[in-house]
Amino acid sequence: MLFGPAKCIGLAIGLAGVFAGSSALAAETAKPAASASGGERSVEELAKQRGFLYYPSAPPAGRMRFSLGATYDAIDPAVMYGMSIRFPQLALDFQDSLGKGFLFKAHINTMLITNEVLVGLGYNWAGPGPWSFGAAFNAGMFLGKLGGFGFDALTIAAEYRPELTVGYSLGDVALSLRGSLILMGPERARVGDLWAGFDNPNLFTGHSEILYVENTTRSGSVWYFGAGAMTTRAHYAFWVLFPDSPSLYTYPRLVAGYEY
Amino acid sequence: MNTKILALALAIGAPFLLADCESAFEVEIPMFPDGGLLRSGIALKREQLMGFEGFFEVSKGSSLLGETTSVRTSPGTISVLTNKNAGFAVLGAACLPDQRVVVEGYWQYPTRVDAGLVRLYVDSRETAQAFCNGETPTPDVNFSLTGSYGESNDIPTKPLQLRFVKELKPWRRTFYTVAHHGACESTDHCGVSPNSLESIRLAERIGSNAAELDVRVTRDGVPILFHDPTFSASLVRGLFCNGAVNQLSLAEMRASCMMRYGEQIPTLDAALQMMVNETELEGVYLDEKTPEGVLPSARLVAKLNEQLANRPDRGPFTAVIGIPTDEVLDAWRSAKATLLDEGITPPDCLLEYDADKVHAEGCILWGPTWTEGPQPDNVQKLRDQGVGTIFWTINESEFIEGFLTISKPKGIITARASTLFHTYQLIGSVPPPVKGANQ
Repeated sequence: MLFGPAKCIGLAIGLAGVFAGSSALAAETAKPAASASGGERSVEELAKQRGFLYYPSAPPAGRMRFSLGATYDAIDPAVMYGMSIRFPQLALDFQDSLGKGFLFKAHINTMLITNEVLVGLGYNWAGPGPWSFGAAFNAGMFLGKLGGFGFDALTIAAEYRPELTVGYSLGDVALSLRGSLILMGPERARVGDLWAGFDNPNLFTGHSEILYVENTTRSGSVWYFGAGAMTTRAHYAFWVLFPDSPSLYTYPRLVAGYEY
Repeated sequence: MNTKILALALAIGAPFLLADCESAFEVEIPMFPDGGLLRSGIALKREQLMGFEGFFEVSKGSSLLGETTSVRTSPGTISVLTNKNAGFAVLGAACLPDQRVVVEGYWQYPTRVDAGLVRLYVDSRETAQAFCNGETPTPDVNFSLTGSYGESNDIPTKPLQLRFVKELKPWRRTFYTVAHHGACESTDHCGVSPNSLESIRLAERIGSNAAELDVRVTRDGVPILFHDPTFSASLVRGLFCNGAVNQLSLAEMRASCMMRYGEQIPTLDAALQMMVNETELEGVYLDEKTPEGVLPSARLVAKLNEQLANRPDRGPFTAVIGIPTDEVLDAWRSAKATLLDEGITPPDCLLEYDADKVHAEGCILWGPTWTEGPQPDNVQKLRDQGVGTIFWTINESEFIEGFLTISKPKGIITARASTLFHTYQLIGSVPPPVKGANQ
């Protein structure tokens, strides 16, 4: 039982690995035709030009990446008690290389009533062979607001998100396993005119482990998908219920998007 | 390469695929291994337990209960209630052969995995003697309980002492600590499932004097207690316990479904009978999840009211039909007309969503969601119209304090009954009377 979340994380990573393997297989199968027509760019080539959002890369200073993606959390029904709808979330990312492996990063995750806005600084290092490594620290706000459907409520919290990434190149497909800590606080909420804090405040709100698969294209853009596990407290997963349970819940997260 | 990747993925994933993905774990409710000292004593009578009620200072053991605690009683139970981690202790009391009075049981923080045993004694020899003689001494500032508490099933060794400070503020028939679908949230570790009979019994022991219960109907029209429209793994067990609640007959449901902790899904009838016959709960708020449940629920409540009219021994008990939507309101109007046609007095109602409709519909209570704020003006306006207010569902202690002080409602639905009860005793004020009402 103690290893429950770890099991879920392993399961998610394992499944994502299978997807990645299938993707790589498909990429390899398609390689001769692609090469003949100019083909997708290699991960190594793109890493030195515009870089990737997830695969740790060190493009020259001033090179930028934008990304538009979607995220879906398959929330544990115990957290979702009484609710049957989970909205997909939109994810917007921006990355600007500062040179020498340093990057400025910005991230917005929104499902309209809840929003995460983070900016951060990262450092990436190309390791031996196909391996690469990255570390980043992001900070920003977690903001939720709902003024209808029986709510006149707002919640706001400072959020901090340190993360580590390990990347592996498969030629024209990049695999990246990113683990991040989710730290939040102080956290306040308003209902009507009444502001108050939550019980069981705890800076440690959770962690995530996601395996990303980034696929290069001829134009230098990248499409990606990924899967992994989120392990968070309920108020992060679904703030409108304001549950005071300090328990951590593990649920799968699926992501997909396009990097320009 | 691809073979290697697939092998790696399977190597990582396979061990985890072999095991379940359950992250929750259960807490064992602690018990004295030999039944404790209560087994060797003579249990104090219900009226004697009243001699333990009061507001106490925690002179030893504040790390468990905080600086103060409220002690209230129910049949067979002394409840020690605190706002620290929504903690409570559920205790029994008995006179021992050596004329000491022991008070023992377990404590728990329901939102965490912390629980343990408690064993206390009435300090004064004279007071203990009086209890053993069948008397009910009136507690005063010299009254204290001294003993110890422990972790999980360990024999208690950490010092715990409660000193009587003052009487409790009036709460019976005055302020309603309403248990949210029974004692605890589905994410808690209370050892009982929401909306089960066991949960309703526990609700009283941890500080509630009323309960909010969710009503749905089976395919054959029997009102049962269940929250969600469908059976899901977070609420029930059973390989064949799937699909919509209203697609199974009561017999099919009984054959296929158990609640999370193994209880039977109760019928509303069984729950109402249990509440009036086995508890001192003072009310129930039936949250009608579907229009189809309104008429059968109203019939059961009307039958219960007739029964209670012939039960002067039973304290007051008010059951209200909760109306959360316009569809249920239409069903309520129709049910009321049907009952009146049959010469049956309809039960009382509670309207959840529109303050302006409550009085017009003849309901005695308004039940707004807390997520719109304390709304003191609406609460006062309805009070002047003879309507009380019960907010749902506030679990966070700072918000409980805010609502108690800003709106002074008639009651609050909560899954943290101990926190609400003790906070009411600590900083709350007796709700202003509702004009002309006898709720």
